[in-house]
Amino acid sequence: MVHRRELLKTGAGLLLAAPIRIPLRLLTGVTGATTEAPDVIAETGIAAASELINAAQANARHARAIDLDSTIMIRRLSEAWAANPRPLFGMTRSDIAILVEALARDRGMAVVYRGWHDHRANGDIHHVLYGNPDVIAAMQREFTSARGAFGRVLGRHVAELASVGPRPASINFTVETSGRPPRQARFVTWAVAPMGTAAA
Amino acid sequence: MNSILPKGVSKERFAAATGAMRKVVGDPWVILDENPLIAGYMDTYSAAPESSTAASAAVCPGSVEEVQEIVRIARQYRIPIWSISTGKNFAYGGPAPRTAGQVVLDLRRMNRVIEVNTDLGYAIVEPGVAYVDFYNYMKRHKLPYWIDCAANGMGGVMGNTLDHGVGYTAYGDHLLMQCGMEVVLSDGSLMRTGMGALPNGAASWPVYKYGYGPYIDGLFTQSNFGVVTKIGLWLMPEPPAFRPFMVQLQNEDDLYEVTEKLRPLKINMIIPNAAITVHLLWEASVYTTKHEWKTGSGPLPQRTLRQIAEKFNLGMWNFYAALYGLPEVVEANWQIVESTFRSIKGAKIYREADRKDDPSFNYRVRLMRGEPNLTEFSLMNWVGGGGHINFSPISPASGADAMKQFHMIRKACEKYGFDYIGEFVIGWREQHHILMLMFNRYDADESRRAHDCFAQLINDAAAEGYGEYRTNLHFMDQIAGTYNANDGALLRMQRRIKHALDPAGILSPGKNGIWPLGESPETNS
Ligand SMILES: Cc1cc2nc3c(=O)[nH]c(=O)nc-3n(C[C@H](O)[C@H](O)[C@H](O)COP(=O)(O)OP(=O)(O)OC[C@H]3O[C@@H](n4cnc5c(N)ncnc54)[C@H](O)[C@@H]3O)c2cc1C
Repeated sequence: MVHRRELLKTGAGLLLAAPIRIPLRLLTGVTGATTEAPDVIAETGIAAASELINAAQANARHARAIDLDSTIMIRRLSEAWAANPRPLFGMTRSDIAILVEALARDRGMAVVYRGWHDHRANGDIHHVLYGNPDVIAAMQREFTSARGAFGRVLGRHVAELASVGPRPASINFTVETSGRPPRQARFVTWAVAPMGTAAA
Repeated sequence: MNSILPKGVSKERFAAATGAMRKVVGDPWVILDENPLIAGYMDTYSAAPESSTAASAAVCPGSVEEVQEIVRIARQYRIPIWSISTGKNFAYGGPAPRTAGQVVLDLRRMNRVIEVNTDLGYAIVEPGVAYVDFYNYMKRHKLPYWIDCAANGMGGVMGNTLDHGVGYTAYGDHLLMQCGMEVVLSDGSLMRTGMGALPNGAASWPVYKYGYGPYIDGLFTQSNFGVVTKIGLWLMPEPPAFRPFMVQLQNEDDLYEVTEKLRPLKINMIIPNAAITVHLLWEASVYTTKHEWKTGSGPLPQRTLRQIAEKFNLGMWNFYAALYGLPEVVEANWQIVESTFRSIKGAKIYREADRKDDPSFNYRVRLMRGEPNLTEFSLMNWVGGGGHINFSPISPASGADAMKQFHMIRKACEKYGFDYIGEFVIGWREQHHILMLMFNRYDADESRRAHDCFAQLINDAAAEGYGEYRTNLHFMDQIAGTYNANDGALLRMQRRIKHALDPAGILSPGKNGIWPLGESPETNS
């Protein structure tokens, strides 16, 4: 069970306001579009969070596990993005996803990716992905071969997932795994990216 | 080329209209459907497909003059425009328009607090002022007033007020505390209500609601008769003493007694704020999720509810309210309040110091002193997947009505496989019963059941004489249809007003069931 604390336990919120310590890298996404390395956050308490964070280290500006209050998180993002909207990839519960998406509109940012990963009682994982059609098709292939370890796959591709591509599409598919479903809150993955216009 | 167009509008006409709009607001502020930003105007959390309310474009004017120009263009080209202020109408449709193809008129750029008068205790705000901005403004300027906000701290002062929203201080009935309005009419003309209609009446505009002649501010709420560009609102002076408290009730049947005991305290203004009686699972979602108690679908059994109540030290119902004012008055009223609620068998009363580390108590306290926060969104994690729609019937503040509605709604929820997650917000003499119907929007069957459950609830409630105070885009017509006494006289009159004020039918067609003449849900589907 995850308790969101008033105080940041891991200092992860600082990620949002912290000066850039890793030089900004430019990556080339699956579609060939130039993308900016995103920040990546994953809520502690989600089983796939650590593999996502580990795999994302090489592709993200910052990748951290967080346990923080939604009010504080949105306030910090709002302040940070007012000055400098940046791509952000998240693996969180639904509340954070909904709030980040709403804030994104105010800051001239687009929702470029959404993922739902439902662990079924028999161990299968049902995925629903929305985003750049090429990128999510690649995700489907890689999720299928990675079986349960989809967090690692996402971590490797956070930059493409968090960049603006062609008109998004949706797919859903089920991956068979032999694992037991984790007894944890259901979670989602998502990404928002700046468009350079239309911020209030 | 835009793939979504307003109903009956050709590509050419649409392109000409949006081209003219660009000239008014500037290129970046007309968002067409090839722009990824348009996804931000989707209602992603309802039980119906997003495509049914997908906007064809969004236009974001930066001033009243620009709003006037956009409305004139919309009228000239017959383009339907759907007004939003901060556009965070979660549970009721978010920023999305009533039907696919309507153009969202997004007023968020107009976000100035125009005035706060500290002698008279009022403010005048533009549409884009979010609660959190307003709160920060008051703090920054060290103003001795509180704001009153919704539990959705991302929402905004104007949009919430215009949709008849509520907050939790003594000024929780937002429309009651609204005074003075500026409105752009469908021909692009600008009108001020009340004392604001005097050429030099600005001083009395935000202090006297009624002006001269018919009182019309209410016409521009939950309606589509104009685009509101300013409102005045009254502010609550920061009280010298504030005493929030919680009454924990052990049994579901205690809802009857707590409501009966509360009513005289409300009518006599001993408890001045919008008090709330909250069911266990609403509170529990701050700590836990359904998955931790049950895998698979279907509502949690009573046995599990008891376990949850015990584990998190919650009641089956949890009542929250606060006292405000001079310390002596608060103390005197506290004696009355405490003895009243103590007489309920098994009730436990807590004050702030008793539950310092309790996140659900804390966020309620913050709301009761007008501090915006987002904790209540943890409800979205209960089932996960983010689907949510609010069913919100009104009733008299009576124990019998509360129990009747609770049983009626819970029965329907269980029939469709959902948990009852509800609360009663008790005003002066009435109560808003809010069911937060939570479902996994990635599960088509669950979404369909949520939709059907909601539709049934509207009919069940109407059969008992209950109507909803507000609703989600997809149920606006069904609910308008239940307010049908005297052969639908009310809706017929609303449609006549619509036709008189907006003959071209361009402003928010279909809002709350009010369609332009010759249009209907069917012609727009
Ligand atoms: C977790 C949660 C908690 C919530 N808590 C509360 C609560 O405590 N109290 C409450 O009342 N609601 C609550 N809500 C519902 C809703 O989110 C809020 O009411 C929110 O404030 C509404 O969004 P907004 O303020 O951005 O209004 P907007 O979305 O800007 O406007 C709402 C509607 O008003 C009309 N409108 C807006 N601006 C104009 C205009 N300028 N001219 C003409 N018409 C206009 C439009 O029809 C629009 O759709 C809650 C929802 C959730 C999910």
